[in-house]
Amino acid sequence: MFKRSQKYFLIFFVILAALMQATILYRFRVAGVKPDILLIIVIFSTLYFEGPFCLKTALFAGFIGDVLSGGIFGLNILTFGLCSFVLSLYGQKVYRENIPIQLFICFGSVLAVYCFYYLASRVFLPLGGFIEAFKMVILPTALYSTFIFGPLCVFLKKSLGFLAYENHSY
Amino acid sequence: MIIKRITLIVCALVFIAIIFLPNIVSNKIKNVFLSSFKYSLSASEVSSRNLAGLLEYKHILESNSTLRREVGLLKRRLASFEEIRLENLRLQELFEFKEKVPFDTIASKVIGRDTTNWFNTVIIDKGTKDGIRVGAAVLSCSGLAGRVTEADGGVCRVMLLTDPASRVAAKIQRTRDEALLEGVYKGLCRMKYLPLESKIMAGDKVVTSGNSGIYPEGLLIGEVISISQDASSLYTIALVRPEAALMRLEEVLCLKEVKSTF
Repeated sequence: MFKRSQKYFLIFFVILAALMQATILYRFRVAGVKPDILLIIVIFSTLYFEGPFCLKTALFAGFIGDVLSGGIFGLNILTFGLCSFVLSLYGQKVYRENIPIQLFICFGSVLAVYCFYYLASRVFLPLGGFIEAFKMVILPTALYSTFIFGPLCVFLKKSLGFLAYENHSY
Repeated sequence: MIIKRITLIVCALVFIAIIFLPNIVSNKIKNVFLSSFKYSLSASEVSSRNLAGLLEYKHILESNSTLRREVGLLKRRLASFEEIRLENLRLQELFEFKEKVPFDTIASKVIGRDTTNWFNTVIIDKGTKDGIRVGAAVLSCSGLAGRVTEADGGVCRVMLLTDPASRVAAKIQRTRDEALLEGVYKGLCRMKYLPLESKIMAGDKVVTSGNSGIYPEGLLIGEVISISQDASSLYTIALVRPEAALMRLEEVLCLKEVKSTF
């Protein structure tokens, strides 16, 4: 079972990530995009925590993301929630401690979340063509986030006080 | 006995002679001996210093760490002073711009940015309490930055020109061709629906046309960097680089209302 303190720490990291995402992270833009560390934390929580808690974390992260974003309110909650739900459902079928698999899950999740976000936003806002959006936002964000995922995962594991197999129950 | 006395007398005479030697001669002799002692003296001095250093090793270590702390503190202070100096320069620039602009404006700081990569919005630290309303134009010291899309008591969200959802009625300053300016990704804007016969060139300035009713006429937007034709060949498209450094915005001016002199 997970300690309560680990859960509180994860919530703290979600808030910290949202603040970083809205302030200093734009200074580290590569190819015009910044990594989505909020989404990375959601993916991390889904890989390492139990279902109900990781879903709540995803919804909370989505809520903060929506508050600090100029997009349609609720879309981040929906996409993050869906991502966490799908990952917790199908994540059990893959060996999640394998680093390449983790990176693949991260890359795929960011791609899927951003594609879904684009399609949903497109209903309300003029976001340009899909190819343009894919080349300029979706793909660079997925690659950059995947690149950041490994170090951030190690940092989160160490900060939360558990390593791969410790306290881990699927 | 006699030899001894003679020797003593000679020695005494020599000493007396040495004492009463003229300065030039005595100095010469001194210098010859002194220069021969030069290296041994310096070696001795260095070793004595090192010895003293070894003896005061603990004290030196303490003073070294104290000095390091002081250097760190001074470096931090210097960095903060530099930051204040740069802020001062920016504010001075903004103030000078504010004086030139014929509108009632309010200066505010950018306190946050959009969390997603989809939108180019910023959060500023002034709101409806300060007289800012939704739709108000936002300027940087070099040109138009965007408009207020959400306003609360103490904060506002500003949609920048480069946001994909941003639409501005604009015109080319030289040719007077009017068109619609929309944001594209990568910090640029695209001017759509320019007539095919338009004589625009790269480097032309783009200003607001005032047709949208949101932005006053004549505000500088940016510069045309490339021109192409639409896929349907019905109109010309111009890629525009905003004059304001939207990715590095730190302070902005929000328009409150148009002054009567305008």
